[in-house]
Amino acid sequence: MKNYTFAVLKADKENLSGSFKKAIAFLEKNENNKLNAFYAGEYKIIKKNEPELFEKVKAFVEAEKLQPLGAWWCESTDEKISLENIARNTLYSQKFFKKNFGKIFRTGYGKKINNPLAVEILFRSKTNCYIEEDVCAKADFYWLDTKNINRILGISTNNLNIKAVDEITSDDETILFDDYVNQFYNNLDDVDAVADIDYSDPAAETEIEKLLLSLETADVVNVIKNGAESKIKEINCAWKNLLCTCPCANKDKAEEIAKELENVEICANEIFETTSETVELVALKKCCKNSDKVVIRIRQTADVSEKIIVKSKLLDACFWVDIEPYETRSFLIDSEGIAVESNIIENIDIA
Amino acid sequence: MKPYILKRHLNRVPVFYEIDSPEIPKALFEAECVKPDLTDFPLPLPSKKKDYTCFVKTDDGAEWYGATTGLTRYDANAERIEDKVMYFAADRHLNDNNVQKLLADGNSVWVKTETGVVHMTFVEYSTDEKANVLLQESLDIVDRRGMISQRYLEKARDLSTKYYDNECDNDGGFTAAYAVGEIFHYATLVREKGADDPETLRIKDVATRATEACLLLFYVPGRGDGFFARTYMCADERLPDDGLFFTRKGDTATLRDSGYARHLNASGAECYCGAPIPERLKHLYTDSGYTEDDLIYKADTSSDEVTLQYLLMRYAHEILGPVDPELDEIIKETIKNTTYHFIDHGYQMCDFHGGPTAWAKWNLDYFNSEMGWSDGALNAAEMMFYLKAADLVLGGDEKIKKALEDVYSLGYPELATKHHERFYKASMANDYDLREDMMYGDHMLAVVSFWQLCDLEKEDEYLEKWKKGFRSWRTTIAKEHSPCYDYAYTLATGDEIDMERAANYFYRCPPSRLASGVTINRKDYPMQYRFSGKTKELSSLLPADERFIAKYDRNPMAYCAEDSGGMYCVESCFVYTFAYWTGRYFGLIKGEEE
Repeated sequence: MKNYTFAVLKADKENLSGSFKKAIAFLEKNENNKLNAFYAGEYKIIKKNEPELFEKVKAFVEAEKLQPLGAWWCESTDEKISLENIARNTLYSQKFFKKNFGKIFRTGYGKKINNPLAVEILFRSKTNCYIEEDVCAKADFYWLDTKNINRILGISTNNLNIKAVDEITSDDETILFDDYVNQFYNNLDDVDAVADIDYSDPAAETEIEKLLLSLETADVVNVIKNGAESKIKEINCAWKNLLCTCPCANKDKAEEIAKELENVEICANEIFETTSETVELVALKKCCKNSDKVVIRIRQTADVSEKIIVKSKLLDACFWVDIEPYETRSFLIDSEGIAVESNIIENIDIA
Repeated sequence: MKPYILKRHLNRVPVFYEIDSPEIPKALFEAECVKPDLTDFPLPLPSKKKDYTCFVKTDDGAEWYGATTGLTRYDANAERIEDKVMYFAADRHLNDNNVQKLLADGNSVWVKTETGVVHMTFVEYSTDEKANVLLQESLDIVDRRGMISQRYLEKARDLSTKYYDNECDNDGGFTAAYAVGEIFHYATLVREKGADDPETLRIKDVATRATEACLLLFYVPGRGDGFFARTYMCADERLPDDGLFFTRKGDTATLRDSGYARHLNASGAECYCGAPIPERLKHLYTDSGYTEDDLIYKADTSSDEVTLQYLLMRYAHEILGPVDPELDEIIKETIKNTTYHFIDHGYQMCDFHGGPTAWAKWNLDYFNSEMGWSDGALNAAEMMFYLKAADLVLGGDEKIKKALEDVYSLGYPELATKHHERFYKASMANDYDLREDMMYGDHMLAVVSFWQLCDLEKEDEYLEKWKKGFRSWRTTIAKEHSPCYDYAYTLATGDEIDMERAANYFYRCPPSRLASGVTINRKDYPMQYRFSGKTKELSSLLPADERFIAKYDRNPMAYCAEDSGGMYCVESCFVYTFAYWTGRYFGLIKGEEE
C-alpha cells in the first residue's frame, strides 16, 4: 500500500477568509496537491460573505482536490456531544454539501466517538468511515460498531500520515479522505445504508427527527415525542468507555478488512417472518465470514406496542419479542436456533 | 367505555409427590417414552427440539412434551396464542427439569422427573373467583394483625408451616394497596349484590381490618406530631438488623441497636410516645394479647408509605366513611395531622433526630440536590397529591389550601412534567439506560400520584400538566403491561391501553402467591444485556405463571428466576386484587358471568 500523506487544514476562526485563501494557494501551487479542510459551516460563511472566493473553492471541490472535514457543521470543542447535536451536525453538513457541491462526503473527521448510537447516526447519514483524532488504536483500521449489525470503518489520526499544509513537500503524495477509503470499499456508494436521506430535499431537516426516531431505543423516541422542546440539546451523553472498536491486532491491513467486508453478505435465502403487520425485517446478515451465526434486525414501523413471534424455518429459530413503537431490536442467532438479543455484535476475527 | 369481558380460564395446580409415594400410579413408571416429532412445530418452544424425549396426549386434545429441560404443553385449539404453548419447570411446577416419564390422566398429566413426581392438574376459575382464592390465601397465610405483605414458610411449598412473625420493610405501603383493592371490591359488591349481601359484608370487614391496620401505623409511634411508622412488630417477634426500630415503654420510645442506628450514632436515642392510640384500632394487637409496651415500631418512613397510605385514606374516606363514621373521623384526624407535619416541616417528614427521613423529602432543597434532582418530578407530584387528597378528605382546609398555593408558586406543577427529561439525563450520566436505572417501585408511586392528581383536578390547565407528567413515565411503565398501572393510566389520561395484554395477567396469574421460582434459561425468550452490560432482561414479558413472583417493585422483564423467598415465601395477593378490583370498580373490566 502506498504511503499517502493527508494534508489537513483547519480554519483560523479569526481569519476565515485568510484560511480559505491559504488553501487555494496550496492547491494552486502544485496540481497534484489535495487537501482536506474546513467544516461545512465555514464553507457556508464564505459563500455568504465572499461569493467569488466560494466559487473558487467550489471548483476545487468539484475537481476532487478539496474535501471538507465532516461530518460536522462546525468543530466541536466539547468532549461529550449529544446525539441530537451529532445528528444535526451531520445532516446539516451533508445537506449543504449536496446542495452546493452536488455530492455528499463519506468520510467523517473529528473527535472520537464513544457512543454506539452516535455511530449509528453517522452510518445512517452515510458517513461510512470516520477518522478519529488522537485515538490510541493498535490497528490501522478498526470497526466502530453500533448496537446492532451496523458499523463504520474507524481510522485513528495516529495511524495516518497527517501534515499541515506548511509541512507538505513535493515528495508527499497527498490524497483526499474519501479517495483513500474508497480504495478499500471499492465504492462507498455500494455500502448499504439504512436511511436513504435525500439531502437535496428542502425538507431534509425533518430527517433529523426521522433519523432520531429510527434509532433503536424507544427512549430516544420518547425524548423527541415527550419532551422535545425539552433540553435535548443539553443532554451531554456521558457514555464513557464504550468505544466498540475491533483492533485487528494480527492482520491490520486495510485490504483484508475490505475483503472481509465483502463477505459479510446479505443472506437473501433466509426467510424470517413475524406475526406483526407493522414490524419489518430491516436486515439479515451473517455475522462474518465462516460464521454460522446470523444477525436479524427488526423494526416496529408504527406507533404500536406488540408481543410478536419472530420465526425462521431454516435456522429453526422461533421466539417471542416485545417491541415498542418505532423500536429496533437485533438478535444474534446460532446454528441451533438459539437467539440472544444483541446490543453489540461480536467483532470480526480476521485471524 | 364498554367494559372488557374477562373469561373463565384454566389455572395450573401442581401437586408434588415424593418419588416413592403410593399415590403415584404405577403406570407412570412403566410408561413408554415416545419422542415427539416437532419438525414443523409452528410456535416458539421453550426447549431445544433435540431435548424433547417423550410425549402424551390428554383428553382435552393437548399434547405434552417432556424434555431434559422442562415440560411443554401444546394446545393447538387454545383461543389465545399465549395459551397455545405453556412451559412447566422447576421450582414452581416441577422438582427438577429432567422429565423422564409422562402419563396422561384425563386432562391432567403425571410427570416423573429425576427427583420427584408431579401431578399437573388444572382448575378453571373466573377472574372474580381467582381474586377470592388469592384473597383467602392472603387472609389465611399472610395476614399479620391486619397487615398483608408476605409470609415466610418453614418448609418449602408447605403453606401450613408459616412462621408466626414476618417483618416487611414496606408493610404499611403494601397493606394500603391491598386495602384499596378490597375497598373497591366492597364497593363493587355493593353495586352488584347490595350492601346487605353476606359476601358484601364479609369484604367490608376485610377492607376495614386492613384500613385499621394501616391507620394504626400512624399512632404506634405516639409522637403526636403526625409522624407515622413503616411497620411494627411485637415483643416476641424476631427483629431484623436493619432500619430504625423503637421500643415503647410508657411515654418513652428507645431506639434499639441496629446497623443503621449505629450508622447514625443514635442507638439508645429516646423520643416521646405518649400520644394516645385510638381505642378503635387497639384490638389489632390486644386481640393477640399485646399491650402498647409490647409494640416495636419501625421509623425512617419513606414516600412509598406516604403515597399509598394517602391513596387509602382518600378511598377509605369516600367509600367506607359514609357507612363507618367512626373510622372516617380517625381518617380525617390522621390525614390532617400528617399533612400538617409535612407543611410545618418544610415539605418533608422529620424523624426523632429533627431532620428528614432518608426518602421522605419533597422540597426544593432536595430537588436541587444531586440525589434528588432526578426524583424531583415524582416527588413534586407526590406532595401535590397529598395536599389535594387531604383537602378533599377534610372537606376544605385553609392551611392545606395555602400550602398548595405555596407549592404551585414554587413551580411544582411544572417540575412534575419533567420526569423523563431529568431521569434520562441522570441515566446517561451514570452510563445506564432508562430501564436499568429505574427504581421499579417508583412506577407505583408515579401511577398513584398522577392518577390521583388527574382525578382530583378541576382546572383544565393543570389537568393537562398532570397528564403530561403521567405520560412522561410511559416509556418504562408501558413495558410492564401491568393492569394496575395501565388502568390508572387510561382512567387519568383517557389514552388507549392494550386491554388484551392487561387481561393476560389475570388469566395467567397463578392461583397461589407462593413465590417459588421459575426457569428462565429458555429458547423461546432470548436474553439480552441492557446498555451498561450489567443488567439482563428477557426479550419479552413472560406469562405471569412462568415469571418470578414479586410485588410491584421489580422489573418484570428481569432475567430473574425468583424474588422474595422462593418456595419459602407466600406473597400478598394485592398485585392481583388491587389491579383487578380497580378495573372492576371503575368499569374497565367485567367477569364473563357478571
